[in-house]
Amino acid sequence: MVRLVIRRVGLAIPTLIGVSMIVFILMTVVPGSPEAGLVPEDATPAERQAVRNQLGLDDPLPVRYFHWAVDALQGDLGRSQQRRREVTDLLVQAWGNTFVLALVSAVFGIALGLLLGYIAGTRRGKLLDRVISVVSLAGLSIPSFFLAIILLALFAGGLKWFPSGGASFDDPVTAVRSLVLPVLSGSLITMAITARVTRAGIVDVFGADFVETLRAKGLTEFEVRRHVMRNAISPVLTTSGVQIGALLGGSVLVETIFRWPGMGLLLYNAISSRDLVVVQGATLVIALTFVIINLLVDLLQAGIDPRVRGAVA
Amino acid sequence: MSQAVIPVLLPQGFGSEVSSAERQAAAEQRDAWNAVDQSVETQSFWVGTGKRFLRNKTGVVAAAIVLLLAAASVLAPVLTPYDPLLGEPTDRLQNLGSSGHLLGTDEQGRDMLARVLYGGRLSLAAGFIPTVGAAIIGTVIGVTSGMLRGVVGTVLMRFMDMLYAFPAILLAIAVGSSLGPGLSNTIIAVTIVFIPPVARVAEQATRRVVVQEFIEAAHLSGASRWRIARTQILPNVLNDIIVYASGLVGVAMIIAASLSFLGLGSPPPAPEWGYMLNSLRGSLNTTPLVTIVPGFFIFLTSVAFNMASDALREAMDSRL
Amino acid sequence: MTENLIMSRRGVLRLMGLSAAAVAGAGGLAACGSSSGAGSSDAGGTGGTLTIAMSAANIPFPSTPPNQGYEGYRFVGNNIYDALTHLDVEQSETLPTPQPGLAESWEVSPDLRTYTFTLRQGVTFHDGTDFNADAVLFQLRRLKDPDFEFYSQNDAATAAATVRYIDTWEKVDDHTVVLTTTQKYAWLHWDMLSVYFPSPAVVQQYGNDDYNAHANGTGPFTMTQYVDGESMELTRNEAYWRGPAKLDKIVLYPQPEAASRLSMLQSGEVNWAEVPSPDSIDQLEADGYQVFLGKYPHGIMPRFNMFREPFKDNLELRQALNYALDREGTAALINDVGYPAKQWVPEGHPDYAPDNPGYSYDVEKAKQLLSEAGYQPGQLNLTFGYTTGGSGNMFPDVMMQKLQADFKAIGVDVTLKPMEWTVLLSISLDGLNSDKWDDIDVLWASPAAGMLPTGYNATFMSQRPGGQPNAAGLDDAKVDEYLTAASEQTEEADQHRYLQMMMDQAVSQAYFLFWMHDLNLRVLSPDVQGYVQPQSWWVDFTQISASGA
Repeated sequence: MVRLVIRRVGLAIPTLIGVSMIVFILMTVVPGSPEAGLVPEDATPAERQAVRNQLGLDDPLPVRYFHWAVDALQGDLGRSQQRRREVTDLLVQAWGNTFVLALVSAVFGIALGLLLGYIAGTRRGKLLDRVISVVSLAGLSIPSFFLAIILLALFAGGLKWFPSGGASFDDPVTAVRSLVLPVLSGSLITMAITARVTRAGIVDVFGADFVETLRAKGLTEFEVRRHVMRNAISPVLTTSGVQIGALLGGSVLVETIFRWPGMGLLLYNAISSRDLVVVQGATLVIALTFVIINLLVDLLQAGIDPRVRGAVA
Repeated sequence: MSQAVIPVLLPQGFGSEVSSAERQAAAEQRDAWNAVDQSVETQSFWVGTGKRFLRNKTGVVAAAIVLLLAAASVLAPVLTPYDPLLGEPTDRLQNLGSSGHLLGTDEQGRDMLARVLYGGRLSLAAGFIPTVGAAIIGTVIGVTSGMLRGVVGTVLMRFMDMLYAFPAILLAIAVGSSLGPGLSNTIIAVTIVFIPPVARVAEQATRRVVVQEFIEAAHLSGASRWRIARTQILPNVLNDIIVYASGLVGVAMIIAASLSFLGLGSPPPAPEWGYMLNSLRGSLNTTPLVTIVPGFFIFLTSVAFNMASDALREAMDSRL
Repeated sequence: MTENLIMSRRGVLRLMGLSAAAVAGAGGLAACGSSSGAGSSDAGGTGGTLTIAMSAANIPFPSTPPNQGYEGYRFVGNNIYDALTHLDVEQSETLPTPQPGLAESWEVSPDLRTYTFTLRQGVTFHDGTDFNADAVLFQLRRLKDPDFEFYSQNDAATAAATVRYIDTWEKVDDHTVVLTTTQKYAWLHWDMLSVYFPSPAVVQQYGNDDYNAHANGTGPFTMTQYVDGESMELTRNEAYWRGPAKLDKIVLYPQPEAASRLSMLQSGEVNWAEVPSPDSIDQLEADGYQVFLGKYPHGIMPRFNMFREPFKDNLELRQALNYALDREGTAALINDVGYPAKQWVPEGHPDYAPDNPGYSYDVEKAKQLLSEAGYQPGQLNLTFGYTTGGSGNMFPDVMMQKLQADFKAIGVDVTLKPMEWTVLLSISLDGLNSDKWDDIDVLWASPAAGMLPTGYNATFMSQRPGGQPNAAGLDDAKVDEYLTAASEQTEEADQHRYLQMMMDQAVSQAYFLFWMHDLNLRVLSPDVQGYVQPQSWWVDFTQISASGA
């Protein structure tokens, strides 16, 4: 187990370095100058250069990356001149917002998905199974931005039950109200995937030999099902991990439409306005999140299922 | 939520009617048969798969829808007299079913049906091309990595991990921003996004096959690595790849639609469905049905792709 | 008193005709009018909270100057701060001009190089400290003196254009400051409209890096809450030297999507929405919202790439494209929230060239000019760079596709090249002669056309500061001559005379695509009262009240 952790962490470091390098290079290739928004349109070359110096844009690429990496290792992700804030500050604020949205979406989506998948799997072939399968397929196929627009028009614009956007945590009621539509838009695909994986896992396990054995031993149907679930859970864990990781990366589309100030929106805006330090910092955090989530999922799997321990390492 | 969460769990697959015990047995049988005599077995495998696919009603319906959409978009000039790029501004935002405009008109007065049909070409291209491209490149990378093991293999897979440690949509946006707008750049971006997961599937499948006895046998009999790869490994790996990739087409289409929704796709007046959804947002209150049309078609195409891919998976896996 | 006027678009167009006549006569000073007349809501009542959905992508920094373009000045800068001079945006009849602000009066030397400002007495910052000549010098040093302890690189960079012509500054006494200019310059008091004064005590206490969290000025509102990316709350300054404003609070939300601003308005989250989707106006009016439209100095005037073919030395081609534009059609596509432009500034503006008919929609003439220019239909393909984002750009996607169709009708193909706002700004800095951008034939531009006489420099002069050529390659000696002469005239009438000549030259030479003027679409909910729509980008918030709170 410990060896597993060490190995994975060891592998994670070059991955993170590689990710940050790739993004660094990508952002230098992108057309447009980061200082363009910070000077007037008739700025003299000197005025422009002053800002470029402030942003450190004209140092050689490896030097710039090296400085950034060294600072990052010490926890200093730099300062965004466009936002006039420390990058760490921005990330904490955005990550917090995304975390809330992701957590609620994940819990809602996975719980509902498990339930539906369980129902479908245990009634394989029957009407309810078919209905749920169709619904999950549909949920998988709907683009989140399309769903978001429809929900917005119906419930915020039309019925006015929910606000049209913004993350507001002043009081529990507003917090919940502002979460409903973004969560619905964002969790549908999680729910659909979880439902399908759960169902497949259950179908799998039910077909396996040991279930008959359990029945023969006299366990009640309920107890049999509990065993089934425990065994079926492994693939669900993996996909859930991926879902949570993706949600924590922040969904640009849902966040844009609902004006939810999270990581996705932060990164997207930073790319658009060529705010390089923010892009670097946000990328790092998102990649780190993925790596950690994957590690946790693998550990959990290894913990639950001894067969996996060997295969995963 | 990042729409592009690439399905990870395949080739076990989900939604399949077949239990993994059955699948395991089928896989072993298939490997054994392939080891014995390539050409004959491969052919009947595909024929058998095809037959099983056709027996699956939902699969057939889904495939029919996809073919219908493809045909409709290819035949668009025949099906509609309207120009998808130029419209009559005085005719703007006509509702569904208005005279001469079955699906209404958009904010520039262009016929929606024409835009949807011509746009279908762009969407289908954005769905298929990256998937095929990533399947090829990813397979090469994954098989190489799985066969070579050692340093090269690890480096390759780590590099894939780097790209994979990223929400797909954000990677697509980053690549799309650096390449600029345009359909070909979108296709490139989505291909890049898909290569790592395909490579991973290919690598895992390769590793599973490589340890089996018939590979040893081939190696001992003097076959070169390249020959082994081509004749022994590839056919076995291909199943998993095809099954996995078939599920990617719908996702590719949605990522491309997301990019064009955000303004990173083909420049206007290209009738990209994602872009249309964005430009019609402002009139959601006045003509909601027209606004929904492009979104509906994205949804429909995606559903059809997903259903067809599910059916294909079942047909390939259940061998009895 | 005034009635509750909800302006219909027809009403506005009729009114524009009337106000054009009024403005042509006004010229210089305008009386601080009452809110009678066009474009205002019911005056009366006090208090309430104004919640605003801005089109900016983020809350403007409460710095000096703010960012996010003119929305920064409109919502944040002019509320937290004052400047030496003040645009009279409390009235809607005339184009606003510099009035006394923190400077009670000013005198200009005959050689137009020395400005003596007499500062208002008894004005305090929000922290209670006095506003005086020291405060003025403090800020000027912050913007211009890199050796100053509190020099702000960020503010200096953003404010560069407004303080470029200031040479020296000197305190005569606590309430008198003398500024000298780098050249003969008639417009320093226009520049000073945009120079805000923060409390030196606050800057010194928190330093530049942390100043924004504690922004402190002399303006009618104090900043009581600021969450970057989310909202800003401004509260009435009871000690404001003009007298306290009526509103209790203003809350600002950033929302770059027009459709979302619309939903925020309809759901009641805001009672003031900047530029919602034009197609929603009819519905909004029917629901009782107050829809405001009015002329103001803003237009969409794309620039031709004059560095090379096909536009360099080809007047016929530039004119042909101007005649090919179906401006009325474009306006119809945006539900008439804009109207056709004949020249660079709107008709009725003091710099409008009086005898120049400008361009109209004439397809035959366009085709004829195209062939005179040496191009057969189908021969010419233009690359048009435009932006899809950035506030104050009207509706680029819709408008560009219409333009594409218009040009195609005379046989010219247009390849659209959408880009982010930052990229468009980069192009303006680099110039169209730069390798990176030299494939662009026409470049989108959305100037505040005619708001400030200093606003012509960057677009019209052949040289930009620092020896750089005009970003689009415009190089006309006459234009330079007239513009320079205008800046050296003591009498305003003479300034306008020269500017009209400049405008006449630019229009006759068709250096731009004279396309659309914006009508400043803004929608308020019924509970907002006292709003006067000025002919400006900036707004006065002191007379507004909101009963819905």
